[in-house]
Amino acid sequence: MPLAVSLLFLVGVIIIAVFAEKLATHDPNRLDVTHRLDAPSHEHPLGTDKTGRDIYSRLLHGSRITILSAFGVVLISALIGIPLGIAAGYFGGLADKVFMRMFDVILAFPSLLLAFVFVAAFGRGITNAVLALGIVYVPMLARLTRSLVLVEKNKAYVEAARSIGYSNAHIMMAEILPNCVDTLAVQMTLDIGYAVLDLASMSFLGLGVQPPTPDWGAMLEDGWIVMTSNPFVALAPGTMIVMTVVALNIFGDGVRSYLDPAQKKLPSIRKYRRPVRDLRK
Amino acid sequence: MTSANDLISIRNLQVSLMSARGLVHAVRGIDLDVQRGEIHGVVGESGCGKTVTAKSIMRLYDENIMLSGGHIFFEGYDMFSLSEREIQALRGSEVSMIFQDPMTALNPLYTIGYQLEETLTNKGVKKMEAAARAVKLLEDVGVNPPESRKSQYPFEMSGGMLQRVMIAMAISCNPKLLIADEPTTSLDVTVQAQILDLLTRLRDGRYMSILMITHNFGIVAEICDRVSVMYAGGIVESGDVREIFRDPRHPYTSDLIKSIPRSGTRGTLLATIPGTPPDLLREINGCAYAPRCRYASGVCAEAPPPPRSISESHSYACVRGT
Amino acid sequence: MADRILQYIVVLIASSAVIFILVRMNPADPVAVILGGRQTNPQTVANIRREFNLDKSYFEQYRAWIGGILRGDFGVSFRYRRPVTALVKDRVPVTAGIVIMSAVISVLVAIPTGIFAALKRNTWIDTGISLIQLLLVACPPFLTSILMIWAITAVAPTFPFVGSYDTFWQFLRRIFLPSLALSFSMIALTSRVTRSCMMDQLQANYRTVAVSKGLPPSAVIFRHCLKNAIIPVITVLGSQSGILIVGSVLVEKVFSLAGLGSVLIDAIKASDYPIVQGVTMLLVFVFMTISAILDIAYCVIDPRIRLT
Repeated sequence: MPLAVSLLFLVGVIIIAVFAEKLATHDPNRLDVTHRLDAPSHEHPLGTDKTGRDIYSRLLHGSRITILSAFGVVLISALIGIPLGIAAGYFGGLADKVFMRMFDVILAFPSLLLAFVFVAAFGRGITNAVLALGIVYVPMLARLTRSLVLVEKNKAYVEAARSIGYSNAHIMMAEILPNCVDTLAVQMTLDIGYAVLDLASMSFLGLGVQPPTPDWGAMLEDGWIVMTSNPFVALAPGTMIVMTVVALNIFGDGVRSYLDPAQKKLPSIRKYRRPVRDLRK
Repeated sequence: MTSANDLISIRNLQVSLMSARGLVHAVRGIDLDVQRGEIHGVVGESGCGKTVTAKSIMRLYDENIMLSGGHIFFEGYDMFSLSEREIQALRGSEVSMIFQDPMTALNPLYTIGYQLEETLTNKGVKKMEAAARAVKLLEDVGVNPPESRKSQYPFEMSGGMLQRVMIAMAISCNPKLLIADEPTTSLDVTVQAQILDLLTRLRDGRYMSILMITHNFGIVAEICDRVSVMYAGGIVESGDVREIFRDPRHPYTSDLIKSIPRSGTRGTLLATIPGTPPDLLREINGCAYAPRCRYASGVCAEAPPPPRSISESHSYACVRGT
Repeated sequence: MADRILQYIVVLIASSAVIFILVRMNPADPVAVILGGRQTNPQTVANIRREFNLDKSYFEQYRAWIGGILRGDFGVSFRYRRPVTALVKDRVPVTAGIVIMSAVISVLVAIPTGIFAALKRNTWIDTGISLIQLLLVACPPFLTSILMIWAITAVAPTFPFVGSYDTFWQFLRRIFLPSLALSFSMIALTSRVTRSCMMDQLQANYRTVAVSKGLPPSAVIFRHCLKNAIIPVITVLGSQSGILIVGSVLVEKVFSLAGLGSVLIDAIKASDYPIVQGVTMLLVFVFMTISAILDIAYCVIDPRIRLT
């Protein structure tokens, strides 16, 4: 049940992101000094911000950049992290050591801090923020892949594939990877949620999405100072961020317990239970 | 109903547990008596309910296990009517238990000395005395040298040594009943013999009863005085070990005895029992063993076979007469 | 343990190199940053380059930087032309205060909550706790701060969020709300980990043995299960302390506190990289040291690691 609701919500967010132009009532960037910080009205369902822009429309357009960049972060980390993790786990030895030491260095940074330094190096903006977070997320995904491969590579089917004479590349990509994909997909779903949060943090600090582009994190930055005048400026994007991340977490956990029946909760025996003293009769 | 010589009497015990597939009726109304000073074996295949029965005596139920009927009397006390605090006082001092896997049975973070002394101090023994008694106990069970072993952690000891420590812990407060749940299954064969020898010696020296849970009829033959054979949550035959070995009445018992490897039978095929035990999720109407029994006839599937006694010390549940 | 210390030193050096290299990838010309748009002549430029070691090779610059750090000198800011240490000195206590206070709050709340949830597993209490955890994990610290300020302003409009602090007590009061806001996501994560570790230990064999010995439930849970459950929690705390360090940057902005965060972010925006590399190095050092200390604590508690 919660799984269905969260899935529905996520599909809804994606639809909004795709059809933002159709659904929006205003140009998200049009200023209107006569309607600054308006309360919600028929004209502006969620009111306007400090420069008179329509919050509802900005929220819809913001979903696009937020979702796309979060996907981008996870895509980058997967494209780098999964192959590295497979290679490290499959070959072991020196390659494994080198990769793991590299990841240790990345993990020496509190995750967002490294992204800050990347932005300091390559300049502010959403593209660099996405690239930076993508790289920051690599070690976690690569380590997970590696641990999965270490389990899989000792199984009989890998031995069989090797005895038939398949190449290492074929065994890694066509034999082992498909068996790890479930767990990786779950982790990537959860990572999208973390990416939404981290990107919002960066935009809030002015290191990610730059004004006037609408984005949930950047909208929060616009809105938090004017909370007392029109709380919707900050509450609307804040709520969307929280709900999206909650939905992604529920969805990820749900898929995980579906894939791994051992984790499934046993039905409660309590309804069958009678007090011990009843049994004395 | 219970005789004065019975230390523990189980009457019509029924236990259910929750599995991933649903509610399992693991123990289906068994009667069992353990007399003072005897070693009583409970033998059966894995999943027949013997461990659940053992745990019921001390009410060691986790959240997925439920008592659904019956009584256990220990020296006349109804164990199921005792409060949590009362049963806690009995655990360790009157009844104690050793387990199948000694490697995981001890807390990895405390020395074995600490865990042994903890058992004693918990029952009100002073710290100094507990330390002295711990050394004596380790010596008794053959953990040598006890003083230096005391300061070791479980991961530093072998399985056989740990099982000795477990036994020392279990007998530390001179319990009247020791429940041994497959105590040798995870040990090497040579160590198995030593542990069994130790248990017999302790029984003789301390006049305590042992309830020996095992799947191995060989162990029963070696150390037990009486035995109850369990199948699919019920007891199919019980009585004096020698009598049952000489004259097994239930087909399951005789099949089990035939499947013990013996010397002098080299080269012949070991007897096996075809089929698998019944699904305990379901109700069983007739005899649980009927589907695998070579003597089964129509009546077997209709009603549960009534218990029959052929002597004071031997009873079984099968419609097939003598 | 010696391995762990060696690894700590190697990774610390490697991360300093990463910071140094990354910061120099910035296309902005340091001289332009230093001059800040003022007119100049080649002689001044040459002087500036000498003053800031910009005329030396990158390797020399790196050596000078590390050598300085070892003597407690983090370089000179481009924009202010003052030592980085002097610029951040007054800000360190604020950031450290927030991080320490929120760490204390998190541990004090999260570990008991996790244990409680594990003991009440599969009841409505457990479900309720996990729902709150889910919500707190999804709520970034700056949003928590914003909502907190908004809610308190609505209830008590005169509540002093800003203002100076003279005594230590006033300082603690000033950083309490930011620390609380920051601790929320840490509480959620840590209590979740504690719950699952505790659940594993409650199902361990040694627990049944401890019960069968006749130990009271409190001894079984606290003396036996909790001690085992706490070991993995300690290691997780180490990696999660990074959340607090970065999170402090976010909450101090909302609560308008003068901590390291605003210095760092301003410096990033202005390409003032002596400050960027100095503050980053400091934070990485703190984070790694916390992780290393917790790892060692883990070794001390667990005899299996201590004695082998």
